[in-house]
Amino acid sequence: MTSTVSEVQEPAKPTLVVRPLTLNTFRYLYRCARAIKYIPGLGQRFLMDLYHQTILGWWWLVIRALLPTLGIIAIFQHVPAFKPEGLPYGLYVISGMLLWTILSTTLLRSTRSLRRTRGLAMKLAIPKLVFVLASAAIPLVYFCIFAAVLIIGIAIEYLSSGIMYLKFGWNLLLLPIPLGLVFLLCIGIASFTSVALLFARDARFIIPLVTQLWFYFTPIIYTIDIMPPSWQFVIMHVNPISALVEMLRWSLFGVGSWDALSLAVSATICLTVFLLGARFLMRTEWVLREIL
Amino acid sequence: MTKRVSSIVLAKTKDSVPKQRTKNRKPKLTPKPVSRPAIDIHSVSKWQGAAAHIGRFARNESLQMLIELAMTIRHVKGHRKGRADDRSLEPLLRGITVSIEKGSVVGVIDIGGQSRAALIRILGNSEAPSTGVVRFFGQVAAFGQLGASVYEYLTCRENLEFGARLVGLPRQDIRMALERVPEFSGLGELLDSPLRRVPKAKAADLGMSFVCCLDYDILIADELGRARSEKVETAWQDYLAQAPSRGQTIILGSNNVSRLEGPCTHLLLIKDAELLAYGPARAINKEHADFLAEARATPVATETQLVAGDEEDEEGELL
Repeated sequence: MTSTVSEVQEPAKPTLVVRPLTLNTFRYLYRCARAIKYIPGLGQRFLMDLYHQTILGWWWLVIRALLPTLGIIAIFQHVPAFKPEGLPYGLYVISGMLLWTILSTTLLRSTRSLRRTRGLAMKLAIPKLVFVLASAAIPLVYFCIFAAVLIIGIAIEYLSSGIMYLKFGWNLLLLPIPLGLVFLLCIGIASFTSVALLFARDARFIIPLVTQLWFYFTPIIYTIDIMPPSWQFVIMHVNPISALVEMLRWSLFGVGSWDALSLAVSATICLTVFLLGARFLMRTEWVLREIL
Repeated sequence: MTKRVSSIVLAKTKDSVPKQRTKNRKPKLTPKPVSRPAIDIHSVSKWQGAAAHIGRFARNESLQMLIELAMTIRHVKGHRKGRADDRSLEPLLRGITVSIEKGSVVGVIDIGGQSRAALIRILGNSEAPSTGVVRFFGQVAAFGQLGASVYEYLTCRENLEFGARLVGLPRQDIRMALERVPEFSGLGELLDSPLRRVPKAKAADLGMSFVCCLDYDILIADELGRARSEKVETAWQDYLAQAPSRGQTIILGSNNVSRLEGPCTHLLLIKDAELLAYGPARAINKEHADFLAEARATPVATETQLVAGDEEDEEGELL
């Protein structure tokens, strides 16, 4: 060892304090915020795992993100009922997928987060919610891909037809609201499912099934107007994502039907699920090591 | 339950005051402690075993585990209060209170190994205590955490760098430590080889050398009894011997008690989950010779370890 200890006076405050686990959800969230420095390293770990030992490597991310969406656009643009008013179908679907990709990928990846890192999770006494949050690095990449494709799509439409579909104004300020709420909802759900997956692998089969069903109940590839009025009410006020998708389209293009009630319902559901998920994970941490 | 130890500690504190510091100290109205502790362990308890008393409710193992989870979550408040009367909870540590001085090499010894492992897990920030607080005064590096996530296809250097980043060490410190590793270990040529081509013993040596090269004030290490190359072993012994002069605090635990007695300046003894004694190794050796003999003779209980590692990523779903 070549290092020498300097004669500097030690700080009066402790550099690290190890405390018992908490039973207060908000204190737990505060501890998560303090452990934020772990997120870049963990996020990098999740990304590194993704396509190692593949020939195409990172290109798989682009292919996997875009291929299904391009397929949907190619087929359903020929269905007249699906076409929205005042917006090309391609932009309509990609803007919806911008939000949906956060939901589907976060649910899928965050559910696996604890199982994939359980060796590390058991050696690092930081809130397990940090692991679930860090796994959102993958959806973040997907989101960036869709955002880039959306910008390219808008530019192509502008160059070909001369119409700028992106509506510049204060509406763009609303953009983080649907994105943030969806993210909170997913992390909340994944807090439950990631623990469930540690015990029962059924979770990894259930999540894609539920996600696919959810996809059909969300106005992403079709407009809400084609549904009967009773279904419209259910889709907008029971499914928390619908209002957020519509709000996102409205904030981007000025197209979309959302009201204060549907947004309030969505926001309440998202926040409640997030807090319940964080609470569940917090209480689980006390006994996780014993049962595993 | 809490036991502040001991006359031995106080005597040591008086002896170990560096003369230079006392001479240079300016008179102040409020008297300051002679030396600030490196680690302050205050009333630390650890309880476990809530799941042990749950009966069999389902044939399916996964379902049984979920039921166990649901039932043990109910005991969380018992953990929190450290309720000794709750028969479902067994104590691993009970009211451990001790101040570890800067520059001590402390060996943690108990009978059976479970309390020692629990204390080192808590000190190494791998697990939270049920009650109590541990305060560290200085930068801490824990040996066990660094090897928690390794990739066969990355080089040893990349693995060390990545593992250290995962546990939150700053990039600058990691880079400086990696520069020192070849000199410390003599295994510089292996540092840039993929991990799958490096023998396990040498990879472990590299990991240990890396930890020793980190310029940190407090090192927590458990289970260092594996075989090492002669150069690394010598370097490690020198490292331990020079730790007090560098002002570095090291906490060691091992299944083999006799390995701890040589390098440690202090010993911390735990008996029946409570602190039996803490003090200079020589004094403890004299006072608690019977306990140490019993600890040497008792086989260490195999700790429940997670058998499965991290799960490989599986792809499949498109939407």
